[in-house]
Amino acid sequence: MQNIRYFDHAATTAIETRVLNEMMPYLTENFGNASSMYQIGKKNKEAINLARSRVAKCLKCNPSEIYFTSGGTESDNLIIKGIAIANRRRGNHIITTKIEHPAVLNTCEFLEKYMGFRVTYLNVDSQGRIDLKDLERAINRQTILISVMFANNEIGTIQDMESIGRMARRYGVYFHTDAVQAIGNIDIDVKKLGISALSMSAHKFYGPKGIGAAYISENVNFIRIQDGGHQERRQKGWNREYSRNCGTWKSHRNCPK
Amino acid sequence: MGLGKAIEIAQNDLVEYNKKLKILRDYYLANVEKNIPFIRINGDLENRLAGNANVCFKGVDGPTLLQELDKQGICASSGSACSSGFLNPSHVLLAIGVPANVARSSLRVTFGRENTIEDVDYLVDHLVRIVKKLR
Repeated sequence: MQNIRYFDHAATTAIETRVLNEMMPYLTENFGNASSMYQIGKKNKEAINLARSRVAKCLKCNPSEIYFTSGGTESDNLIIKGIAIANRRRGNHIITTKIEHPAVLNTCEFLEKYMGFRVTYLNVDSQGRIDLKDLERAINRQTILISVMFANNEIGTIQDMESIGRMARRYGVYFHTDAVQAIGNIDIDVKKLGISALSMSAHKFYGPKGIGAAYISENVNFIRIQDGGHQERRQKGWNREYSRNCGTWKSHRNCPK
Repeated sequence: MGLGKAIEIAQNDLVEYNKKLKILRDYYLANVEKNIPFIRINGDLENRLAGNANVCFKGVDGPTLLQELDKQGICASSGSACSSGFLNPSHVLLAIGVPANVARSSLRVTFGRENTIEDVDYLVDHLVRIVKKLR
């Protein structure tokens, strides 16, 4: 067979040997269910927590703000739908851009079509960047979420995240970013950038396929959109909406319109 | 465990990795610009991922170009992986103002850990030949 020259790392990457070696014991002898009471399961809970803290360290957030998913698409769905539905009473308007990945565009379309949300799709300039004045003009009293990708998958353009984050904070609007292309390429501090929620996927940075993560700040009202067991602290996520965060929304909402 | 380890490694290598990708990307773009006429480089050259190059080769059909590159063992994309193989021009390229017929001639090259300067030479050599043939 011919030598392969691979120039498609934005599509997917080969798994790193060190990563595979770290995974192997958990695929073979330590296969136990992490919620079980026996040793081979309990050990895996520790492993999951270690992985969680490694992800949190990279984003400079709390491990309790990291949720494991099956990848970028699930993270985008979980975050956007989860925030939209949980905050429906506060507003029905979402702002995103025309150059998002289909996982974000189609999720927004779903919310428009079936859930009664209104979505503004911002234009970009010839370099692929949004105009902050357009963003500010699009924000109104009904706006609950801004979703702007960190770096574009096709043309690689990086948005001015710090300014978008600052504006979102000023108007009391949540800020989600699809960072699937950015993780592993850009140093990200979610707190400094004012990011409320972020999506990532392991196979874009030499990790395995079929796993990703969602960062959701503990200040965000969101509900789980998939029902099941108590894995990934879904029950806790549900409680969160009704305990810690009630009332925080209105207090920092500061919209001129 | 895989995600955690991968992100830890990526985070530790961030600076070196970006430096390497930028060298490969800039070398690729410089050589494409020097050797192939009627091209359009898409996207911001400053606020951009270090490993990304997106170029339109005007008058060339994107999917055909990919097939020809594949025959030489070269893997690249005509935009996002998800829309490769479809004839619709990329919604991203249309949004930045690339005309639809030009958008269909785009080639996205994204560099990574294992790529070398020699790989880029191989890629550009074949691109020069194939683009000439398809035009």
